[in-house]
Amino acid sequence: MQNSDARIEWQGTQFHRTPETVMRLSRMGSAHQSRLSFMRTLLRRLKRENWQFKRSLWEINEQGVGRAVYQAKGPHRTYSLVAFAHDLPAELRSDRVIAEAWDSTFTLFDGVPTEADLQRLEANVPKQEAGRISGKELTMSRANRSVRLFSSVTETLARGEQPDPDEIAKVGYLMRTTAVYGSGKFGAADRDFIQNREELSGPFQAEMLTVWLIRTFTLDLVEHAAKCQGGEQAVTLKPEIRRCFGVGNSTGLGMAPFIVNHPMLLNNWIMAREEALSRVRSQQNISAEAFASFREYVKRARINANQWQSEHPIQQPKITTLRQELAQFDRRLDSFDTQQEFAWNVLYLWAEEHLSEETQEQVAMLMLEPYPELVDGLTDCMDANENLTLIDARMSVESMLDILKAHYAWVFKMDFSADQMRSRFWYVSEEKLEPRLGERFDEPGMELEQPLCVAWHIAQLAEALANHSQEAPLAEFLLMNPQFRHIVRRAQLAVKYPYMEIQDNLIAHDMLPIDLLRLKLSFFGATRFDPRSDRWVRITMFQNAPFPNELHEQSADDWAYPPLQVAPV
Amino acid sequence: MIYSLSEIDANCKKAARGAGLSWGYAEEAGKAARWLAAHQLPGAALLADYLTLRQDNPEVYQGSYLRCPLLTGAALCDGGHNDMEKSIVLESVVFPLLLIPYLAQLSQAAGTGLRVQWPDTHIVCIDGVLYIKEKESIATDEATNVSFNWLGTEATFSVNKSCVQEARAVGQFIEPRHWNALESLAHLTYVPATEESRRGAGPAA
Repeated sequence: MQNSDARIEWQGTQFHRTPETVMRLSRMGSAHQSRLSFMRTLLRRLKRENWQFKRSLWEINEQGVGRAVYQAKGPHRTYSLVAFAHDLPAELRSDRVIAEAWDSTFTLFDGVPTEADLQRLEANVPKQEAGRISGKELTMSRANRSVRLFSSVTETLARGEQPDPDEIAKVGYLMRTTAVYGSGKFGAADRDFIQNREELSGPFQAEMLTVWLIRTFTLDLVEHAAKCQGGEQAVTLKPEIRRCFGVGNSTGLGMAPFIVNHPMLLNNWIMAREEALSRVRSQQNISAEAFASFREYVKRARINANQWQSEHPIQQPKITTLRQELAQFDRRLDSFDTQQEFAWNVLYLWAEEHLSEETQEQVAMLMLEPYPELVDGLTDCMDANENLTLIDARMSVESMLDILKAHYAWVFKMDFSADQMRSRFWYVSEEKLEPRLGERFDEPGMELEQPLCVAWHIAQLAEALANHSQEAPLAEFLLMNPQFRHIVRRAQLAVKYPYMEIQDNLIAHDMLPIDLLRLKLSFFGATRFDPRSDRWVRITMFQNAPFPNELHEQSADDWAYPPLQVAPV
Repeated sequence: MIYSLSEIDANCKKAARGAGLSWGYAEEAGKAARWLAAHQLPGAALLADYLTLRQDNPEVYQGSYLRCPLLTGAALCDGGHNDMEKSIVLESVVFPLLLIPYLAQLSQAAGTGLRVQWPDTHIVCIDGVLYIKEKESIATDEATNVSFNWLGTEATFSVNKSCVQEARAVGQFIEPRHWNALESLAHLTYVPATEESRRGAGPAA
């Protein structure tokens, strides 16, 4: 509990995109991974620091049931993924958070587990939320098979053949995780405990390491199953085909409140991204190498867009447009004058004027690719000290109102007297304590609304402040109106954190929770967003990335777009 | 059972909200319990007892006679630090240990040392470090007169290093009765699930 951040009010340059531009739901719902994403940050570090990996335990039987341990040894510490493989009857297979059994369950152990640790974990990790882990564990996770692909790959390998890359591309993974818990959940080590370790100080690094090692486990498991089925005839996957598999993930509403509840963290993520883009846009000249590299990434992004599948009525046409616009953009590059001053900026401004948000965001993130020296260091600025700040309650009511007028002008354009502006309410469900979104006027529970309706609360605060004595100290107002205490604290942060607020109404009748999910998942480094409703989405993680045994010979950071040789455009 | 600091924070916040405190007070109560747990002090346990009493006996615990440590702490933080070094006495504060995280935060933000005393208890906080000089009644639930004073920005208060209560980022053992009491209050913030709300929230079963 301290208030030590002495940052002064931030001012962008002409090359920075403003919060009004980027903090809109529709643009967040078009976000793409980049050099700054947490998966890429992790693999760059593991390679740079020459981490060593080994599968130290593999006790999986012919039915695919048992346990395994994967160790990742860095310069200072070792972390171990402990995996339990189960025989899950098909009728129990569910990706919902309310499920109670999974194909595989995992935890990331801090160090090398003893047999006693493994036995303790075996009694708890398979139960997930119903079990307990300890301060020796950093994460807890589980995954279900993509049944059809897992079976077909097993059978193909068992026959001694390699699976068809086109078939793999349609799904992209053998297993999908349905939750990756960290930060003290279910008894795990607190974030405070690990945040001073260099390798885990960035956001979600323990979670990303968990998922990357889970990916290896899923491939080992399918090869094990093929061997059990095919015996001597069975083969393992060719490395280039093996890399086509990522890890899937199903993410529901539960993740959506996170970016609203962590305003400083959200600010720091977006600010790092926007600073990176502004650094590229402000380059006076483009070198021939940088432009050639960019063009190659554009072509690889086109392959990615062509492989990206979704049947969702909103995402599907966005992908079609992305394919068309990337082709149009690529053609434009043929005749683009790279010798003109601030050519990147010219290119970006053209994209902003002529392309959809989905393509604009893709192009913007592609522009970061040729510039590791300008971009990658910003990953050090993406964590946040999220201690609860003291309210400055000695300022006047009038000064507080001035803060709202300066930093929440977007709220004052909204009229909350209309029912459709308040149609939804966020609440926590009694069942598994899952965040949900209800219909305010049709469903019970609105008196138990969670404070995620930032814009509405700001509007109410502004009205109450305007009706109070303007000279009075804010402390007096808060004593009489304690219901505004949380939103006052939040609004005072906005002075220092310009990118912390989503400048849209999170309880509007037409709000799409998948936009919130996509923003967060894009920072993870996810690709192939496939919304399955307006409230949950499937994604792929670490597709085309090197495996632990390949990290030393392969580039650690050249995998986020498919390689050119697989399927030329 | 041992609970992580973030579990303590989250459950105490929800319990405070369930007990009827505003979201702003509730988030402060969660952080206060977390701060005390990090210093191996019984924040969650005291909060469980206090919130239950407050809920069950509103005429006593939400009346004008007894001071709530949470609301008092918030009001002191809002008032900010003043430079006066004279002692301030707060009368009839119940569960006074719950007040300490608020005063410690104010002390650290202002860069001044702090001394807090009540009968048989003497706590000093300098540069965010907590020194417990006397603790016989540190966990009292009784209405207590609490005195505190600022020690100035250059506090050279002589402290015995052996009484340092260091903050650690590890969880805390909490008695089931306390945890259950907090969960019962937290439960008041949950909405029973309906088929309608489940629909579309995630993959179909």
